[in-house]
Amino acid sequence: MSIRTKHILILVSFAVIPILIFSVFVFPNARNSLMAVRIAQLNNIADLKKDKIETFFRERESDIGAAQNFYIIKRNLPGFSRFIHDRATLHNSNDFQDLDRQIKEFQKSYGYINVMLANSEGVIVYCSNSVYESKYLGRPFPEMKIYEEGKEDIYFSDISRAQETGRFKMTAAGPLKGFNGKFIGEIIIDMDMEPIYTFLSDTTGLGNTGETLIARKEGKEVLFLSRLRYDAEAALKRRASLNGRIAFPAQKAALGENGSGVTSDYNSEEVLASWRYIPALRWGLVTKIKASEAFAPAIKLRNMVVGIALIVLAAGVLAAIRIAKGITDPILALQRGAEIIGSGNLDYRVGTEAKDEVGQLSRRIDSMSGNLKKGREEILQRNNELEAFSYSVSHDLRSPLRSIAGFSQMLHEDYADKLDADGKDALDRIVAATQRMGRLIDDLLNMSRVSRADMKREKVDLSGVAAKLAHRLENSEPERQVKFIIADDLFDYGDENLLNVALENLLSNAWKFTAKQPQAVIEFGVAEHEGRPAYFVKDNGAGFDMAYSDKLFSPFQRLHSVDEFKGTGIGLAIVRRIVARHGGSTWIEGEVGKGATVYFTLR
Amino acid sequence: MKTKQILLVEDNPDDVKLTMRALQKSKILNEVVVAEDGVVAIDYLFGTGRFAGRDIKVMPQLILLDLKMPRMDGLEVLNRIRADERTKLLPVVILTTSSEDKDRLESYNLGANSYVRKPVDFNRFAEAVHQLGLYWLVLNEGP
Repeated sequence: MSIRTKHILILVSFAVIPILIFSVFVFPNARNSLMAVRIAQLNNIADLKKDKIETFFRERESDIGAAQNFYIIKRNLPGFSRFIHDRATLHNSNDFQDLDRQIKEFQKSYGYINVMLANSEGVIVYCSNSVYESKYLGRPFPEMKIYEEGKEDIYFSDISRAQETGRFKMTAAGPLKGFNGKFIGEIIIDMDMEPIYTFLSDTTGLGNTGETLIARKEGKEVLFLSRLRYDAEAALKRRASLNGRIAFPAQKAALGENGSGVTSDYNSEEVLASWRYIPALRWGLVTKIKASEAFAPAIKLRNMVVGIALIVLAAGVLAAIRIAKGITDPILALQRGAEIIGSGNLDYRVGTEAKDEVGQLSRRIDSMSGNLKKGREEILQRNNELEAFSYSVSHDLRSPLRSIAGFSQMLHEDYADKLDADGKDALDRIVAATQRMGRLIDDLLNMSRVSRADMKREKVDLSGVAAKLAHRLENSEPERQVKFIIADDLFDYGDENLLNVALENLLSNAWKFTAKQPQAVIEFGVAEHEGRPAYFVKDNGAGFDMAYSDKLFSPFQRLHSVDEFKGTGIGLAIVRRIVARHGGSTWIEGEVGKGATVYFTLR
Repeated sequence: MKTKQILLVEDNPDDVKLTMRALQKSKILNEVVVAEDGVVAIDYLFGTGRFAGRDIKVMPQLILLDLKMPRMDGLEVLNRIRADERTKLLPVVILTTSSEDKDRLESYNLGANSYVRKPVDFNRFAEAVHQLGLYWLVLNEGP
């Protein structure tokens, strides 16, 4: 793992760990405590509203209770029934006017729509609101259920919609009794629902999405009784099933339960709700607020923390990259420099002014490469001196050698008749020795030339060079049976002349050492060695003992007698020098009688 | 027929002797003038010094020139030969032990006609001399 990655991971974990802690512990906590607070608020509001509604209707009960005890009603109501069809007489009577005045005052003071009196047969004998007189007066009260319930005790009807006005109303009925306690009729009051609706629609403490609603059970459904915040036409129209998640709080309340929780409203929105049952009215009351709003502070907090964490994260990553860059850039520069120096450019300088460890290291490297360069120059100079010396020595040796050879030859030609057999043999040996020495000197000069030749670096078609050399060898001894296997398309970079010399030596060796093979095979190909191409020349010739494999690359080292195989033993030494000049290495593998394989790499 | 002259510029007496022998073996019977170094060769060619008063209308048909010599080396001699109107067209064959590329290129640059490396083996040397004589003295037609 790179230093940069490590830094990024470390700094990022600084940013990520707090986020994890927050999201695992803090956020759920915040959400839960917020929920507890919200539910408590909703419970309070629901209880308050329920109380107020109940109080309202208790007040209505006591209103009716007061009216039940009106003296004037107790005294006069039975009488009115007799004049039901003689309205003029009735209206002119003092009793009627007193009653009318009192009840109208009652109606007005409590804001009722209409106050009616029914006799013991259920016929309306008095109607305070003249608008409704024609509808009700002198007729039996049409809603029998209300009348029947009202006989026993004060009864509040379900909410209904007035046909005349379209307004929502409720009807209350209560028994009227005479002085003797006998049932003489009922007081029936139409109440406008607007005050209740107005009260319900007060959303104080319920934010922007909260509301309070009422509903009741009707068959297998819940019927909404009030206008809804998200459905103004819902009253007495909108229904929801008593099963399922939709309008869950309204279902529960309508079924007579009290409770609270996170659930789903009539629009399937997630809400926090508190629900209450109002037995006197058979109403369920629900106070609720959308979860998104209820939890808004927690969500906001979460968003804020996530935002901060992201900023910290981004800053962490940036800081990590910068810090890592600060550390790795000089190291990378050193690495590049080391590569350049390693490739032989000892003039390259990596030193920086930095006072830190990397800076010190860079200056050490510079002084090291400086020393190396000095050393290399010394070696090169010594080497050059040696090369020049060996060159001139071998050169100068040729001259006297030529004299020895020439005059031996002269002796041989001109004085042969004066020499006996031993003398002639000695002369022959001298001539042969001078010839061998001449070859040795030539080889030395060749090797020296290989070392001193200027090197180019170009793309060389090794396969082509090998094929040409093989062809030349075949022509030199056409009678021999030698199979050449030369791999196609081997290209590498180097000096064409020198590589030609190297391959010539290798192939000539192979040619020479397979001379005694009836079916010789010589192969030029490539193998892999430590991830680099290793070219090889392989033969199935005389081979050699691996114990001597190191010696083979030294000049004039031979493993065979001159009689067996000709040569001075310089070939592999020249190959090794050429390969070394290319920055590569050479090695040889083989076995006596099984051939040899010489490998070389080119940097 | 007036025999054609050969000027052999060679400081090593062994080489002189061997060269003469090789020429004889090749039946090249031309007169051979030996100059033991560059200075003597120049004196001979231009009739100066030891050769003052020589008839310099008689010029050698072929100059065999060694490179490494005391006082004045072969390249300098070649340079002077090519620089003078009277000698600039003379065939000059470098006959040397040097196999150095530098010497060979320099010789041709200065206008040598051939460059021959003396083989160690006398037979091969004799063969080389034979070829040279045959070519330059018999086959080749001068300007």
